[in-house]
Amino acid sequence: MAAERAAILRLEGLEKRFGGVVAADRLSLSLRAGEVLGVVGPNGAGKSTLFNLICGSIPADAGSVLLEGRDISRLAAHRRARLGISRTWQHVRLFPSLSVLDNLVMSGQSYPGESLLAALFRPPALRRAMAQMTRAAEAALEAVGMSHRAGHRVAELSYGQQKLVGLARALMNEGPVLLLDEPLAGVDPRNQITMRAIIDREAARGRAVCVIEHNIGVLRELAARMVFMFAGRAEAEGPPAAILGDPRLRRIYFGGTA
Amino acid sequence: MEYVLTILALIVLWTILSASFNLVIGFAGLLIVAQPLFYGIGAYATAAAAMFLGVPVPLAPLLGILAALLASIVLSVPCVRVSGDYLLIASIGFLLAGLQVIRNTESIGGAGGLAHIPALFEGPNRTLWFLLVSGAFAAATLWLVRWLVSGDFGRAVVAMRDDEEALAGLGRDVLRIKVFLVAVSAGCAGLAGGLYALHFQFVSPDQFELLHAAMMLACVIVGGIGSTLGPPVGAAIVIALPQLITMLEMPPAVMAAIQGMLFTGLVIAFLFLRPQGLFGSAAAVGGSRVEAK
Amino acid sequence: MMDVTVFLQIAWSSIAGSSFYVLVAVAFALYLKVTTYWNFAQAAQIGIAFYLLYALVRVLAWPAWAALGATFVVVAGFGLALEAWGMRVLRRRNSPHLTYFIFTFMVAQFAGFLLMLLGGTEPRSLVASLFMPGFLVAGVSVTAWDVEAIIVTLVLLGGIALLLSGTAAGERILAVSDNRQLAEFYGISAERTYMLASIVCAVPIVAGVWLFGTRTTFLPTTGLDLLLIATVATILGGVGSVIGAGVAALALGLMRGFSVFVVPSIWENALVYFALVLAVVFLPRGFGGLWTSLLARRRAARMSQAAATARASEAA
Repeated sequence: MAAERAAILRLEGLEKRFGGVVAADRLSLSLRAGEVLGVVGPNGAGKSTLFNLICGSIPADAGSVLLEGRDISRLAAHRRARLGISRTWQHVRLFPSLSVLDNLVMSGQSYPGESLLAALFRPPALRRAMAQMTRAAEAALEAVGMSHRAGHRVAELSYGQQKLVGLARALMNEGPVLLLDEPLAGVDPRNQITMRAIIDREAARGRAVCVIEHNIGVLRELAARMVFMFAGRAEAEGPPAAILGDPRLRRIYFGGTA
Repeated sequence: MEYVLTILALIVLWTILSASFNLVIGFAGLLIVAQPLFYGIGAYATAAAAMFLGVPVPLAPLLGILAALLASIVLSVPCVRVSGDYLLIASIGFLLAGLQVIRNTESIGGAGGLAHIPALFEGPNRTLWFLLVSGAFAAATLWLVRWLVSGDFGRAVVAMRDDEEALAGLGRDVLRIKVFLVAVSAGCAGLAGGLYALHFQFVSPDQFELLHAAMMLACVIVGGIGSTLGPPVGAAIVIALPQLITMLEMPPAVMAAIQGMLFTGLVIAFLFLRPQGLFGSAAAVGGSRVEAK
Repeated sequence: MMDVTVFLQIAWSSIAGSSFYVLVAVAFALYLKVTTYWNFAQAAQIGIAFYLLYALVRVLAWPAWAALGATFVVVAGFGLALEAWGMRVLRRRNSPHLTYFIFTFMVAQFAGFLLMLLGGTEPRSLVASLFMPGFLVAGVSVTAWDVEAIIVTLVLLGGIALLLSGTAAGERILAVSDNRQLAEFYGISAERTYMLASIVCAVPIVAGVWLFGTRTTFLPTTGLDLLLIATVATILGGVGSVIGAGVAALALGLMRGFSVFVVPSIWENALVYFALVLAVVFLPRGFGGLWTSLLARRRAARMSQAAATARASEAA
């Protein structure tokens, strides 16, 4: 049973306001190992804010984020990523000045090139670590079928290809939590199959995967559990059939009012 | 001849200043305009080391570098998390406050400045020797900047310029990278200050004003913000062009005003007609990049 | 020991002496509120205002009202030109904030040099003699300038407040500063509103320069100095609050007036600049921001307490 799996990430009473707009309203959720959690809701429901609060891009006004029991709410974004919270962005946000491979190389949980030592000297240990990083990046590209694009600039890629690279970049972080913001939007059907296979595989490996997606048809197949968000609240949570079958939620989704 | 060598020496010092300044505003994307203060602290610390602490003259600039580096950390550690315009304002405040401290400290000459600093080189060819040595340091600075923005560390710097928030979300410590770049930049400015003090043998607070930040900005903008080749060219233009005016015989006050109008006017013209400068890429000055508010 | 009369005297003189800081700070903060840019080119407007007033009043011996009117037209026109040919171009290009800073800062420097060329580097004043006879009120010396400064400042602040809160033009300005996209969606032209704002800003600038020039002496670099104090006031008052900037400028004036008892006067400027750095680091949203964040924290605490009680009663 899914419910008996260990909760890897727990959110407790997260709150965030932007001026008068409530983006997160007493949000409490948990992500479990080996499970894909789907997040649905109308535009502006606070889905992306949820990811930003988890990964620390924006600080929460109140509430806490617990990763494997440890409170990480006060940690900066990069510390959280190093602890194993990996994510993609709705608009991919690859680094346009870097090659596809370099985008991946510098996105591991640790990046040896970041240290001051690396900037000043280049000890052999560092060179070995960088070589290993490059191999990992090549493997991640291979996994999404983008090896042939490794040396290209991001701008030369189609939007769908960028999304695949974005996913590969997130896979460079081998931590327990994977947050995917609309991974399938703008991706052609053939590549969607690749992506779904990767998402399934990552969950099967024991990661807690959270997917924001508007493509309900795909999400109901991917996710074991769904959360319906509206106005910064988790309105409902449960198996996909229950969420998608609820006429009230459907009205909100398509009508935009409660 | 001596005059030409002196101008060349100034161009070389300003190459160090603008190349390192560019590292902060062009590559780290930080609006820290306290560079003249780091330059000044380097100059004063070098002079003080040679005059009062008995440090051998050739080693005195090391203290200048160290002092500038420490000053930059005092500013950058609390301030880099503050974004954009606020950082700019804080750095202006820091620059002006620092200058006031120098002005009010009588033991280093106060507002009148510090004279009789020992020289790095003596003799008839001293300017030539100085030019060669500082030229070597300028080349080293350019190489250092180029090195820092390429390779393993540079990959993170370039990514940071592209999308800071995404980079942090992927696990890179953006603040540490920034503090490091600011420190390197300030260290270079401190070196330039030390060299200046040991050649011109006189420093005063008036040489490190906000106006000089504007001049450094001018070098960077004209050369091309975020380019590694731009600063020497920008420095050459911004330093040499006003010198041409001195050929015309004018009262000093009038000349200073015209020289000032020349370089500020040049920057304004570049901003509108060629925002990427002579060597820069358009990406660094906007168009493609929209700063998150 | 400081007796009451001395205290009152310093307070009164500092309040009157803050008038031009308050006016300049209000202009700076208003422009910032509407456009989100720190407009250092206002230093150029300050410089132009002073030297034009000097030429008209001292050299051509125009009456004050005519000189002030003409100066307002020129300063506002300069502001409009800056908008149309400077800021608007940068906005169209989607320039980063750095570019606006460089542009406005270079305009300020350029104007400083130009005025140095035209007006020389010696200090100048708008009146032949800066000596002002005062009359005593309860032991405190009050000059005609003090009274004029306070009245002018209050009238202008009141006028600006009235303009912002009670007129259609003010509504447009507030709408654009609140949310530019939304305002444009409702058919308000942001560019035209920016132009309007720069005209409004010219009023306190010209008035501030007049008060400054009739009280003390002006140098080509004075514009930038005044603007730096306005910047400190804007940060302390909380970005986005025009009144806050004015109040902070007044507080700064009082602080400078009374600081002579605490620190030697040579450290006065250094204190202001250190205050600026500390304000940015610890109070980036000013004292107003500190207040609102305290309120928010208390509200959040109340809410989480309420949630905890709710959970407890649920469990029971």
